[in-house]
Amino acid sequence: MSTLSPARTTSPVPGAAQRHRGSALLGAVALLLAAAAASLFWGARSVDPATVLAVLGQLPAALLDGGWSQVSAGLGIDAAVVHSRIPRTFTAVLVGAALAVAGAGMQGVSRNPLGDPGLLGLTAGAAAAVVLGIGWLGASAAWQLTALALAGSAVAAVLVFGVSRLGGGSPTPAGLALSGAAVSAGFTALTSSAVLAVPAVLDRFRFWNIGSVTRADLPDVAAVAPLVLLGVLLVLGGSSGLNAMALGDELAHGLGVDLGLQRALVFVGVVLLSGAATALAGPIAFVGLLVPHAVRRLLGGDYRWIVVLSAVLGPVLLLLADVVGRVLTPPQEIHVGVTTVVLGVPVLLVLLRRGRSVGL
Amino acid sequence: MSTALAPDPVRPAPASASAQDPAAAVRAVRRARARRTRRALALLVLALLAALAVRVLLGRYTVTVPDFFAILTGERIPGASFIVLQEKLPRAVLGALAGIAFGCSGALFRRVLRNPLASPDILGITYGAAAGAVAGMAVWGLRGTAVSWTALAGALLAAVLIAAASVRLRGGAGIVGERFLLAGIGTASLAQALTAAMLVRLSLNSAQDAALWTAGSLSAATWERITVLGACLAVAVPVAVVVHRSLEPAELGPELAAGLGAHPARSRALALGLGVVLAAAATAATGPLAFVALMSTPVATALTRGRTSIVACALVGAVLVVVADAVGSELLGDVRLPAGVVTGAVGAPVMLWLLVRQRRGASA
Repeated sequence: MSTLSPARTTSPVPGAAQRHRGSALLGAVALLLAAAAASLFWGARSVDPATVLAVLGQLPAALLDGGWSQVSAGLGIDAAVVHSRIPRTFTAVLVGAALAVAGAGMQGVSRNPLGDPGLLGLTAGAAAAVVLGIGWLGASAAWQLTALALAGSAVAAVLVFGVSRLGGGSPTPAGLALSGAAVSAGFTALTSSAVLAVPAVLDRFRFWNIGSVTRADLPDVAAVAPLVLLGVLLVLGGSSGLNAMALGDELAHGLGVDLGLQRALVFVGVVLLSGAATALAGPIAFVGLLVPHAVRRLLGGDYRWIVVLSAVLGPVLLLLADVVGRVLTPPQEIHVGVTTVVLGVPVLLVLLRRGRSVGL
Repeated sequence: MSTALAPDPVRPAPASASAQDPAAAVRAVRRARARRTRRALALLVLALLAALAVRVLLGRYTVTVPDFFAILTGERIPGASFIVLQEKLPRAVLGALAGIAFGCSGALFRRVLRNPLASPDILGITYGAAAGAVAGMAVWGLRGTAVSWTALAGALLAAVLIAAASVRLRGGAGIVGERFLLAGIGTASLAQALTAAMLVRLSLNSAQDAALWTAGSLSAATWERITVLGACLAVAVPVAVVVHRSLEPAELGPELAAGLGAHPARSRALALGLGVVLAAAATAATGPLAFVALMSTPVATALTRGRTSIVACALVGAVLVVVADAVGSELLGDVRLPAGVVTGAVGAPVMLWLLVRQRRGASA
């Protein structure tokens, strides 16, 4: 019996799972391309597909000629509309990947199914740091705001997770989510105080505080992209450690995994990703919750694959949310920050109902 | 001399009482606890009166006590009459009423959900009100009292959303609590996202009004609002006191409470509904005063040492709001801050303390 069961369980599974994973990755990449195309072709103003193709065709030559500013000057309205869709598509891809991978990392580190940068207050922390920076330090350059956002999300992460380490016990999923909501409410109170005490801040901050992919321009995206890449690599580097952590701390030690190092890697990666995403697109919740769980249902609990597929599928979710927000009420656009929450709350409740079966 | 004499007659008494008559010992403990609660309540009433007096009589425009009573009895004193009757007194009274409502609401939520962080200002009720108010300004261009009604509608809508998401499950009362928490957190983030999206559409001036509204302030206090809120509280607070007391076994957890003969499901739903109505009414009148509902229960429990009395929570809430308004509008020199900003600044550290303590408790 004992000699039979390992053979039975191990031999068919890895091969099948690997084939499954490869095709899943291919499918995800195809989905990403389709979603990016949808984001370029659809919008509040309907543009002839031929125009879109023409604009995209001219793009490489124009970029080689004289950079981005050269491209957007002196074109018709339709072409300008298409041009405005290009940076927002890139923003959605970058932010979606960052948030989804950050969510996967948080779920792994806290061994808690409700890990999400928005739910646990990291984006609120970033927003509060930015408003304080605008108000009192006079920050305005993109890199300053990004640095502030990183610092803010680091503080929030230390509050939510550090406090839980302090106690030693691992909190229940709802308990951790409540702590995150409390930290988030604290930062919101701080933000509104700053906004009211220094009225000039409000005018800049209110545009900063919506979860939207329309704000960032291509240079901003290019500046933040290395941060996101570094963050994804850090979480990916720690993901084998996450697999070991999922077995419990004692077993992981027994396997010879340096838990402290792996945890630190993932933690730094998560902070980088949440801060960078918030700096680009403002607070967006639930992407980090939805995507890793969807991947986990498809492929099971191997974090290396969860991280990779989240990085591909996170952008898909955000692109689709953006397209839906553009098409739903034509002259007005609904920001992705609103769309993702509407999508996310039901999933949150379903996850809770399945309750302990979502063991991490 | 007295210290030398005292131990002899006193020391045997409790030992013999606990050995011979446990009922008497229990009664003694209960009496001591009731006395502590009464003392804390008396202290809080005094504190509230003192805070009201400071708010009305002192500050930038001071009023003497005889003048104040003369004004109350109808005598006209140029200048002072107007400032007291239209500005200082309404703010103080509205603040006290709103504080009472938030305190009661926080105590009810705390008792049903059994988590010190589960309060209406974290679970989306007050965020819903803020979203309703900003929507009223941004979408329908409302001003003044009309905004209060859209705020009320927003809070109730948020409550309906949370209830629809958390009530469906049959049986397993403990899970309903967790579902309520998560639905509340989700609703809070939805309301915040909507508020932020609508804030962008307003002109800068209206956006400033809206931002003031989302922090919560007493600057729009009128006797009309006081009458409406007072009428709500006159009905809701007595019921809240009764429900809160009937839920005392619920502190032990749903199974034990059912074993002790409580009707958990019905009274829990009633308590949450009442908590929502109280928070919504208060928020519609003043805006979401951050963390008042969250702070008042732990502070009151610390004062009464171990036993949560909803009256104490209500009084703590009232004292907090009145003092916050006095500090924000009078005592900070040239800077005038709305009451909600002051309560937020005081409440954030309290919230962190609760967070740390909760985790310690969870591990122990």
